Amino acid sequence: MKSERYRKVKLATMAKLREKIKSQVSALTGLAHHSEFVNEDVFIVGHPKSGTTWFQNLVAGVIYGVDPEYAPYALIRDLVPGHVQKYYKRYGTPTFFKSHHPPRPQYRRVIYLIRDGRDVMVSYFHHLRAGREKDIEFLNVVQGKDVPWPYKWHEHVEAWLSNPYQAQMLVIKYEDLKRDAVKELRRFCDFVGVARDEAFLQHVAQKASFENLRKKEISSGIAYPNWSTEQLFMRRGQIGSHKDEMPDDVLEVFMRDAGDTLRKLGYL
Amino acid sequence: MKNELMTKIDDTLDAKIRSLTGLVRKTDIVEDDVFIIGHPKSGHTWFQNLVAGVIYGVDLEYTPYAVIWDLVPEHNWPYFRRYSTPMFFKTHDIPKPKYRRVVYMLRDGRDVMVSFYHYSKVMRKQEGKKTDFMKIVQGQQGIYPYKKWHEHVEAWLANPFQAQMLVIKYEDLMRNTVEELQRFCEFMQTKRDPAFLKQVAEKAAFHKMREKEKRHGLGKPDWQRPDWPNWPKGKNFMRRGEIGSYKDEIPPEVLEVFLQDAGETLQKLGYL
Repeated sequence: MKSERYRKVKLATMAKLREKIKSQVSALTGLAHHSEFVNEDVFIVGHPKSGTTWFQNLVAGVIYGVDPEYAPYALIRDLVPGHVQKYYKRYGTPTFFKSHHPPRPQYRRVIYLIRDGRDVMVSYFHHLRAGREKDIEFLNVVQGKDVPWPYKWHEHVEAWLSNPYQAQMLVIKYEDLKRDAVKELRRFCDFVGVARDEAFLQHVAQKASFENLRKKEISSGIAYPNWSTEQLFMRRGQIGSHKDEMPDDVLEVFMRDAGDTLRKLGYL
Repeated sequence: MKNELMTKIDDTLDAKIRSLTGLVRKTDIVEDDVFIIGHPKSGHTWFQNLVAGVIYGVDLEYTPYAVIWDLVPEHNWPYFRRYSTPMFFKTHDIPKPKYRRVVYMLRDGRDVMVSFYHYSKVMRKQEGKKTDFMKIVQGQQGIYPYKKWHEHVEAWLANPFQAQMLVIKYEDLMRNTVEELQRFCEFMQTKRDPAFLKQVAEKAAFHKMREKEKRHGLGKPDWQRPDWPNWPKGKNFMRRGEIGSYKDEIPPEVLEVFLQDAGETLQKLGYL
């Protein structure tokens, strides 16, 4: 009995303390807790390694007018925060967040990034290897095992394409963005309702090219707290890297799950 | 005096804030950091925008003011994000040994007084206080605790702690922005081509900054200093931004009193 009451008091105290910390952080830094967002906010969502970091740079350029070639990653991440970051600053409404989450009812406006799942797997495998999961097996990665985000690629994609909570949604393919970034940025601008001229979009796209983002990473880092500096986050950034980087047996296992989705999206 | 428990709570909170946000304390500065300093109303806000454009390559047409204030923060804010080393800070402080690299902003003290009077009036009104131009020039009613104008200027020009220092005159910056930005780049040993500097200068022109303020507000946070009134909505922070506004805005008797103090400094700087 007594210990039950003690537990309750302790929980209540902890909750109060958390609230107190939240308000103190906001008062002293001007940042907001990540649970505080509004319907106008836009979420840039995709399975990891589908181009979300690239798109963060593009949004920072198009919306906030920073030069993606020079704007340090730390700034990019402040302007377009990841939705796992505890605190962020609301520089404007809408705020643009990056997220790898499956569909959530609170996400009302979504840019969904899609990339050929086979390339995603190659990239994901290298990404995890470079990070904390040094011993991870490629075969496990394609089956969604031992990965930080507990779902398979096709599940993420199918879940979002079915759009269960009727978010306003714009789908952008990595490959289209790669081939004609300006065209996709134009679609993005129309979707979020901002006016930017062709030359400006061209300029931003060029500044946020893979080579420039890679150079920036080399000169000033990627500013991900968990990223080891031994490998580059910007690894290859190509279409079709699965062709020379995905062993047949791994591909076969992946295709059993993802084949239908890839076909539906025109990748096969 | 703080007791031990309070100190412990503050320390814990401070550690929590830093780990949760990745920000660092205002005291975490290094010798390479650059401080943009001057008496209030000498063009710092303008220069903050120019630095954001020149150093970080932001397009001032689209970048919200709030971003600029984070890129080139005020040194009295408790926390900041270190986007680069050097970081650039704005402050109105008097010389101190910790300021190793300084861009000192200088402006005709008479125009400074006019601008400072209008600024102080708006700020003090929020606290229900009246403002007297005469008291302003006598250094008795400003909202900053720092000295009279000529004292601030003389203290810095003497450079008592041998900081690396670049002096930039508001009037030169106004007449030939690109040239002054080039001096700034040389001081910083940063390479930027003149066409780029020209572009930044144009986007930071007074009328552009004023338009932006009208459209989106100043974006100054009201959280950094609970004891400090915020700039009120609906008032233009970018007021006039001209050279020689004292000519039609400073009463003769106020000017006379100001010149008794500041005359020599103005003369030395070529303003008289």
